Amino acid sequence: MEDMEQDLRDSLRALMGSRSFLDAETLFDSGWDEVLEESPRLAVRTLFEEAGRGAVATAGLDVLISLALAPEREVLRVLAVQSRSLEGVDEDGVVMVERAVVTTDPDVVVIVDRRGADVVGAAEVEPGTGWTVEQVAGADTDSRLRLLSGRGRIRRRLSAPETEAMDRMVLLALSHERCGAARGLLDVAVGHVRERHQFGVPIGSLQAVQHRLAGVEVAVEAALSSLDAAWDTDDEVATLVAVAASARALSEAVRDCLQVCGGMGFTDEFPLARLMRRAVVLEGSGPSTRDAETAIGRRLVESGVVRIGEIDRPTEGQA
Amino acid sequence: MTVRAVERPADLRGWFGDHVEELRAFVPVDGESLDDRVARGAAMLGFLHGAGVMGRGWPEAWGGAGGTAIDRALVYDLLVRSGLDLPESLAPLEVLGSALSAYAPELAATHVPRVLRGQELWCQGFSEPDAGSDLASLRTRAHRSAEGWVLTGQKVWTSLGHLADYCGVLARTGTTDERHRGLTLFWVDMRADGVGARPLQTLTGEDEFAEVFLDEVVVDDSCVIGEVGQGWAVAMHLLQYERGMWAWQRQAMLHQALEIAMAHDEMDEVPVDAIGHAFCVLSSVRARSARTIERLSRGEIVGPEVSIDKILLGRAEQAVNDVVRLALGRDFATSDAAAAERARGAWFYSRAASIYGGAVEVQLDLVAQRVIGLPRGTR
Repeated sequence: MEDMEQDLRDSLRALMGSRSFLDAETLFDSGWDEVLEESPRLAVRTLFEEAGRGAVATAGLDVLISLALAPEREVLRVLAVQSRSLEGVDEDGVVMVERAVVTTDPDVVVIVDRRGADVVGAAEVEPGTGWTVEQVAGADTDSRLRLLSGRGRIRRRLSAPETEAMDRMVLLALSHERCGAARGLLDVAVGHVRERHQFGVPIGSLQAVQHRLAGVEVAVEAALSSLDAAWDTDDEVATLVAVAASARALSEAVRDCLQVCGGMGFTDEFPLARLMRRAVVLEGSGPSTRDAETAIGRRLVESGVVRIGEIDRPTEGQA
Repeated sequence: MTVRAVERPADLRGWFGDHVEELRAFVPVDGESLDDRVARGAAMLGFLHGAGVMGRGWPEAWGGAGGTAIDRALVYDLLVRSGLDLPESLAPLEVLGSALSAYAPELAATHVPRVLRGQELWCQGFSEPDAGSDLASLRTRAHRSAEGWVLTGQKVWTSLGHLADYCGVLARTGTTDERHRGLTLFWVDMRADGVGARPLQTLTGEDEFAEVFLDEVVVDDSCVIGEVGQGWAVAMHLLQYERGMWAWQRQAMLHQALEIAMAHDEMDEVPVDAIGHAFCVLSSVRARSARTIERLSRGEIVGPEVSIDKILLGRAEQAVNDVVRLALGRDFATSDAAAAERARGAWFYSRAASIYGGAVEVQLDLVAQRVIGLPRGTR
């Protein structure tokens, strides 16, 4: 299993190569969708962590939701998150979209009405009047950000369970990507502080520097363990925990890895720069730590219960 | 040795459901002293062992039911889910019991069953007045004489040292210059001649730990855990469990503490994101610790990365107890009620969670140098 995972990661790295964007067609050609069918956990973990690590934007979320929502693959559904977009809109209504981020110029958009970390609803939407897609540089030119605006017409509202299942996958994928990005930043910073000498020693031998980077490692590992636990259950609180932990890992990596790379880390030619710009996009692509923790806290207060779990997989044959 | 056969319930979860009434006798009571808590824990173990519940995850030769660390973890979860706390003797059992199992099977065969039956309590004699985080600088000496090994020195921060029956004492059998290479772990009877223990009151208000004095205490060769001079390796083996299994026991207790706080009247006053944060950190340590326990169960050696578990546990202890403190409002500081006293004790104890078993700064050094590969340097 571990060998298979490593093979998959290697082939994804090769596929990403010098690309800064991996479109849906390339993903389908690579057979990633088949891995996804066989083991969603493995497919999502490898693609999104590698994408994060390499600062490569992908259409992975679009492929993920397209396959989840419709088995036929001719039409790519493109994800767009827009807060309050579905408020007060009836079944066949017109949806107003304003500067929602998309990866490609879509025929069908899946609009997700997300507020903080909570999803209120989702619908498949077709282009209507004044439908425009504007390419922007934003924080990261290489992310090929496009902003969708205008009126769309609802084709179909997603049912609550369908929305929940889809959003779980989207949030887990985004969290893996954030973990990958944090790991990418940490790798660059570790390499730098081992080589960079000041005061006659590698700065990585100084405790103040060590503790910052060890802290990032702790945050990344905590997030990866939380993701593991979230895949083991469909409890939405477990997903929110993974979202919170991954968002925290990325923001700590952004803060501390840039700091220890000093002036060199601030130059555009240094390998950190690309990762930093992509990280800013990823931080804005979904719920923040605070969003997720607020949602968790609200659920706990509403239910008044903190469930004490039971470890799985006890040894067999204990009678 | 012959171990009495105990009929063990096949359905462990079902057993807990069927014995709610009997288990109620062991639920913690407000205002209970430390001595009473230790006694209640011992009685609870006696009952659980008699029912065939205790001992899962320990080898059959040592009064256990076979199985691995995962089975023990499940028992801890189920105990806490039943509203019980974990008896005080289970933490040293996890830590020292694992070392005895691996390095001194005869001692394990004698003493592990006694802890499982609630008949014995152990303590860990590692830290000294001048050797806390820098454990390798410890000064307690052991030298060979005609009667056996003679131990002299002083230990401190020995949890429950004044109540314990036995102590795992780390002592220097080599020279000071040898640092960690000249150490040996000994099994010491706390009633032996020359052993003295003085309880120390802590910020929690309890005599949680003790100073232990060793004045020419004689032990024989059967009390050497592992080889002479191998004490550091034994201590490192033991730390896997101290940082791994202890984290599991504590996360179960912290879930219970948070659950109790949720029922508090002033919980609405607590910011929801603080509650969410505490739960999130707690879930991370549980998820991380579950992976570590799986690895221990497969017989893997868990390396320096177990420091991550320890760091996360310290954070979870503090985040959860901060929420409990907020839930109590001003009662936390001003009330003499038993619930407030308990919460204060737990909050102060949580501040020690980033100190005991290797301070968080030491854990971060280990992660930096042994996990992500940064160079060793001057501190």
